[in-house]
Amino acid sequence: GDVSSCDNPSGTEPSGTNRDLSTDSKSGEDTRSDSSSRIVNGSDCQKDAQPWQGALLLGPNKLYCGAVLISPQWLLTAAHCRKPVFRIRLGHHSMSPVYESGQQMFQGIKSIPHPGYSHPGHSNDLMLIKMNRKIRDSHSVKPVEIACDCATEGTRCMVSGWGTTSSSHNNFPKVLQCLNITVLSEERCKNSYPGQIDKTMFCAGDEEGRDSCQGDSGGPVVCNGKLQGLVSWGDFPCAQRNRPGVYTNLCEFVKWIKDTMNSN
Amino acid sequence: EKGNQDPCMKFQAQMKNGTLTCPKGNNSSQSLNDIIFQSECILCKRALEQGAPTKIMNVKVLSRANRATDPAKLNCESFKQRRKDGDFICPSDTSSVCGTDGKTYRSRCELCAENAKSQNHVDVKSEGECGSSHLETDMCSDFRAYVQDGRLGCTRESDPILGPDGRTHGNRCAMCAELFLKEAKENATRNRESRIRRDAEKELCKEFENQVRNGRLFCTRESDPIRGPDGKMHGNKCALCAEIFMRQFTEEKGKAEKNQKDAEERAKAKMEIQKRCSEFQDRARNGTLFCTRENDPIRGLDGKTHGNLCSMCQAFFKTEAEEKKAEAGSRNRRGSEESETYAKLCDEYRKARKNGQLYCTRENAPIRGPDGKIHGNTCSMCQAFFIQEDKARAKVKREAAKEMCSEFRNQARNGMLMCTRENDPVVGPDGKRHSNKCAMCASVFLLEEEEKKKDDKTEKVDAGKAKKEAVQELCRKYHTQLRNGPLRCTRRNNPIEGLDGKMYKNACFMCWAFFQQEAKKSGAGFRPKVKREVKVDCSEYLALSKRGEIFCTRENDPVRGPDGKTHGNKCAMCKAVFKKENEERKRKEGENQRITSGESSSGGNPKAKDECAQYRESMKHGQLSCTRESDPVRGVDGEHYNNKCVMCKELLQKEMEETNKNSASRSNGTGSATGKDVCDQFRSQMKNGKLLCTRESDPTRGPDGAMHGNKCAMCKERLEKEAAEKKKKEDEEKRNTETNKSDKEDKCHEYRSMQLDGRLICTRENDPVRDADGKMHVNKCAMCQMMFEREANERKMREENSRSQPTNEAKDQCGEVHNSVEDAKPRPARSSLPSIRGISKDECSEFQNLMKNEKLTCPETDDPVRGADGTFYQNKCHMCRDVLKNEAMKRSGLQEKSSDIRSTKEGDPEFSSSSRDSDMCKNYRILPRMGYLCPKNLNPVCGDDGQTYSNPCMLCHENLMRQTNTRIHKQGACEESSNLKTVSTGTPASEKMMQ
Repeated sequence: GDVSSCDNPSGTEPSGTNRDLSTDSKSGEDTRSDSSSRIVNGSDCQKDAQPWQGALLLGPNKLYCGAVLISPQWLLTAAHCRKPVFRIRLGHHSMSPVYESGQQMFQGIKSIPHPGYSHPGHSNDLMLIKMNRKIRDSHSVKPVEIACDCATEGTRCMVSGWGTTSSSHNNFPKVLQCLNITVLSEERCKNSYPGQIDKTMFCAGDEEGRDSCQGDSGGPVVCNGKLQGLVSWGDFPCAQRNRPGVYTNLCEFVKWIKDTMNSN
Repeated sequence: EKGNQDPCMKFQAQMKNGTLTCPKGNNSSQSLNDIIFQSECILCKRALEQGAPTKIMNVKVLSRANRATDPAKLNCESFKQRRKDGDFICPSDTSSVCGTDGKTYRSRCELCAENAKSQNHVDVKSEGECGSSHLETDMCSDFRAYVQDGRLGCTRESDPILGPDGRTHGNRCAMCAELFLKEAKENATRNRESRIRRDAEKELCKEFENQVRNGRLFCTRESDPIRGPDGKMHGNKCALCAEIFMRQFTEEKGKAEKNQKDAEERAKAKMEIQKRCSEFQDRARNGTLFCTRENDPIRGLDGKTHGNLCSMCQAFFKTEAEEKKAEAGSRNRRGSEESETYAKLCDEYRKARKNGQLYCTRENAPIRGPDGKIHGNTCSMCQAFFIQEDKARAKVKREAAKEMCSEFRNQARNGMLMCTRENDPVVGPDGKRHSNKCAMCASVFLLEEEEKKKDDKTEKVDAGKAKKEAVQELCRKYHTQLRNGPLRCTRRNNPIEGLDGKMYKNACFMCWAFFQQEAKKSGAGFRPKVKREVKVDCSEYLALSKRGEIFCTRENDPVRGPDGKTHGNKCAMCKAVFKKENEERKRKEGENQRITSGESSSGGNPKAKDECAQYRESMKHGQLSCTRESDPVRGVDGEHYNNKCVMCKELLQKEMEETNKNSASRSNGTGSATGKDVCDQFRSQMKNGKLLCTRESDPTRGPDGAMHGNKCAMCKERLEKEAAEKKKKEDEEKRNTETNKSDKEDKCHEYRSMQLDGRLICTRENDPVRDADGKMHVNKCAMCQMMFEREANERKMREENSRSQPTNEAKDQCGEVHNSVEDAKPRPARSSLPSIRGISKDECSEFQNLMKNEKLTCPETDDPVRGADGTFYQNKCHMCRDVLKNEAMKRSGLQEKSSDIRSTKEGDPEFSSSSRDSDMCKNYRILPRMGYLCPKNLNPVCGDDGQTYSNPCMLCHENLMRQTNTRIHKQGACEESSNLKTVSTGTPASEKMMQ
């Protein structure tokens, strides 16, 4: 019952807005990156700009997937990120395991992948994780609302995660990375990946070819303050022109998510 | 580039673990130099960490140099000095190594050059060549199926893995995606290079293409060195091209083999899928299968992934159905193409065809025809093709005609159709023009009827043949008779239709006609010749035959006889001929007799009657006496007789036998009536089996075929015979009665009525007779007496056994003792016996009560008295003591007898002892009126009567004299002392008798 019903949309937007980097050095970097093409697939996120971003860890310093907080006790992530044990870290900004103020650690006690998930085709790629206790609400940790309507072509969204920042080498960023992407049309999406796109997927990318990459799976795609998708799959190497990333279309699963959380 | 390179070199040393720590620019009081340093640090940090390809190449080299300090790492520093224009010049003849990416490099230098070129970090995995790329296959095999054009879509979770190229990848999928991409590029490059090389080779060796056979090119031997595209030097251009063609041929062969292998693998996979889909086979309808909706992903034959097994099978069946349709379509197309091909091929022969016949040459050029057969050449193939074509065309025409004429078929009768006369010309299937449709159909029906008739005719011919075979089968059993001349048939009426349609009386007549017909067809004239030859040849031997026997000489002169056999000489042949003729004659006579059996017997054998009439009257009682003169004559049966009388004797005897048979059969119906009618008037005149007759002569044949003087004589004989039979029966009955009587007499019948109370009084004549058990008796009366006594004893014994009073037994025993004593004493002093018996009975009764424990104590008073056995005793008490003791001993003896009887029943050896006694007595001679003649030896035996005898013969003698049946109780004398006196008394008696 914590998640508000789609019939009563909330007018308030989540706290924290995306702002461009303002420092000159940052601008200089951007300028050089643009000219060099695909040097950087994103930029550092501002602290507490993504309070719903979660990290799934295999060890103290071994992140393998991202996650999204959608309820005080429930996370949403990709179905292919399923593991026997879930270590969840919320309210953290940097990659290092050094303690930060505002961070919260949890254990997953139940994981429910979507029954329609199929490994080869990656359809229905989403999974619910129940935490061992509810969050302590703060400016660093807040749930995000799921969008009731599907995104239209041209919608601006932000994707975030701690995935690798270069496709050729496994270089991981120091802090959380954010990237502005645009939703592409279904036709264009199918042309890029013929025979592999269905209604549970949508494509989003950057005109300059920037993209999410390995390590970002399960991370949020937030459009207009609503959770629209999860990082799922795409071509390798990442960040190729005309080869956008493919994301799970959450507007198709609102009812399943609500029913599952209520019955578990 | 150089300027950029220089500023970053000073930061290289500060890097730790691949990361560069730069100071932060938070302090506003920093100097300009500090700001510049910070900017440079940040720039170099990104460059070093992210590895920009072109700018930081030297930095990478430095980094690699740092790694060279590790002995396990690849050391490319030593090859750096030889670099030219960015390429490594590597020396040759270096050992090859296997890189961590699974590739084989000719040397470490080449590995470093490749790393520098592609900016990879491939390291040395092992020395020598790589065995195989198992590592890559194992890691990426499950992703290979999802690759499209070398591209693989990956999920985006982070699962760092070190690839074979030495780099760390985000997850396994990303690593494999990179590998597949590289592989695709390499394949494309290789294909391009291969194509270029092939084109060059083709251009170079164009002039030799025509000479190549199976990849082999034969070259001249001049020396004209030339470098080929592969960099090798060849002797001349031809040699170079020979190698090229050989390689191409080998490649094509390998490709073909690979295709075959792939096809086999595909077929195997298809079979496997078919096996898995067999459970859905029955549910499929025309390639359509309806499936459930559960999610169980499985990869199908088409490389796609299906929701579950059922949907995969659905796609499989659909594909199969489509393939079948396509194949059917292509087959139809191929069939029509083949037909067109044959039509085109045979066009040149169509003109040569005349009236549906095509005459072909004889060359051998095998070709497959439209019927699937191989024909000698094209001409014969076209012949078959034309025949097939004509058949098909005729079929089509016939069907069209049937369709057209169906409306007239009902009106057709026996192929005739009545038509109207309107004029409506129409072309029929035979190509003729008819006045109207009805006329055409009439023609069609007429042709059909003619064809039907032909078929019927053929069937008739077949039927005729079958019939002939049946007749041959039926007449086979008569075939053997045919050799002996004409076929002789019986006269029974069993009508049968012959082969010529005539009716015959029976099968025999039909077969005779059949054989005659066949004989006419083949060598009819042969038979008369054979007959004539037989007559001519054997006439000289006819006179020699006597009694049907011919004696032949023994020379060897082979000759074929009329029976088809080869005989030793002519004489032997004629002998066989005569033998056969005799057999035929006998058979004929037999048949004649059988035919005339219904008529009177006198009707047959007129010749015999004529010849033997003079002897018929002479026969008496079926016997004929003949004289002994020698007048040989041949009889009707072909045998030779000494004279006519002997012949008639046999003939008349045979007639009598037959007459008897006839009379026997006749007597069942009319025989008795005849006898009754004939002789009834004389029956009343018979007296005591005798009949007196008059003497007139009125010859009459009796039922037995004999001639009698008159009727009375015939009846006399008959009635007397009957009387004799009656008498015989009565005599037999009497004899049986006499036998019964004699049986009774043998069993002492005549004496049974004389016995009184079991006792028989006999005369004293001496007529020794042996008993049934082998004992000798004085006379028959004595034997019967013994038998009666035994019977009485047995009866008494049976009664006594039921009784249990010893006193009565004692009394009875005393009575018996007296009787036996009386019988055993045939002495003249008989008058004293009754008084003695009375005395002993009256006197001893008083001592009966005094006995104790079977012992009698007597006083010692002296009162001499004679006992019954003639012995003198001291007093009366002593006498009675002996008497009572004897009674007791006899009682025990009776018990022994009982035991003997019991033993006899049980078969004990004592019975054999009894037999021995009988056998023993047989050994001694018996004299009339004297008894046994006994030896005088002393061999004492104790009898069961308590008496001691000097030897066994004496015991037999006593038994005979006294008519007793004493047996030997034991060998030796009896043990009682009183018996000694008895013995002494007995001996004088026997001696006296002997004297």
